[in-house]
Amino acid sequence: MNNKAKRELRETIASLQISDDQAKQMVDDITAGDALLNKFSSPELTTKAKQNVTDAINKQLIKQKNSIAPVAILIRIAALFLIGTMVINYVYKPQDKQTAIVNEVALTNGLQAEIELITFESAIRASEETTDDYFDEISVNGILSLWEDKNWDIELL
Amino acid sequence: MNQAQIGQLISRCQKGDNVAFEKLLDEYGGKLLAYFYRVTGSQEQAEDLLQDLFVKLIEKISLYKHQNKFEHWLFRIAANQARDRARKLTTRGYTASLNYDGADGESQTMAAQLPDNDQLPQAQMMLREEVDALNIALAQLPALDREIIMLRHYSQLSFKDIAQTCNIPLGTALAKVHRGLKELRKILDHE
Repeated sequence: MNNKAKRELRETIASLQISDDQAKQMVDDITAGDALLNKFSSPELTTKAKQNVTDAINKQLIKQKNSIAPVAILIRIAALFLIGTMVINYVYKPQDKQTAIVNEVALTNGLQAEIELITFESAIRASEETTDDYFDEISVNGILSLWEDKNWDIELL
Repeated sequence: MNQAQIGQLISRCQKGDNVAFEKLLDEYGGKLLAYFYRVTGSQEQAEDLLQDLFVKLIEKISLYKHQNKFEHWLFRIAANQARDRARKLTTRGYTASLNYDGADGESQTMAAQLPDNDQLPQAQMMLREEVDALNIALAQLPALDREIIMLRHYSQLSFKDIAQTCNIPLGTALAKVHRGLKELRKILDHE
């Protein structure tokens, strides 16, 4: 038993709630037991046994590599699919927000008035006194007058 | 081999380097075989367990994070394996003793496994007597006591680590080593 092991043994025994005499007896018994075990030789690893273990190691490593290969291929396919999806998304930029398109088209064509009209319609709808008929009338009239004011092509309606 | 070298060896093992595994076998194979031999009492079973341990090591090495405690980790796996084997033998109806099944199917002791005395050089005969005496004495201890004593003897695991490995309180581990070693001395003194 080396010094480190002896210290560890003493510390472990000291952590138990036993008397000093008992602790000393325990250390002595264990030290004597260790000395006894050290007298006995241990069997050595024979060349044949070592070869058997080496063969088992090589066999297992090959087995493991073969089992990892399909998983690695699947991971690569998944990664390629993900990258492809991201590239397509980036290149084509699909517009899925209708509001954004409306605003974009309206601003591109200079139709700020149209946006204002939509806001006006919303205000009318919110009014308790407004009936659907009234709203339709206001709405249609509003649009027609707006179109005339702006001198837009009436066929566009 | 120092801890830094062991760390490098483990890194290589984690990359699947078979030469690195063989070096680990050179480094720890002897100790592990001796541990298995003392716990099972059979050279054949000890070699089988060593082989199984290295196969398991290949499967588990990627989980290991080197913190200068590789030997502890390795012996924990070894202890679990030895215990699993004992459990399987018990389930199959065998006693976890230091006997083994000979080629003819009959249970034999380690002494019977060796050649006759007149065929052995004197040094080998002395070794045989020592091995037999210790194994016979060990066979008289409870399996867990034997396991703990041998684990401590070959792995240099601390009592705390042994207690954790065997899932028993620290005081119990210490008491079992104390009682077991005392018992061994008593048995061997009588012989």
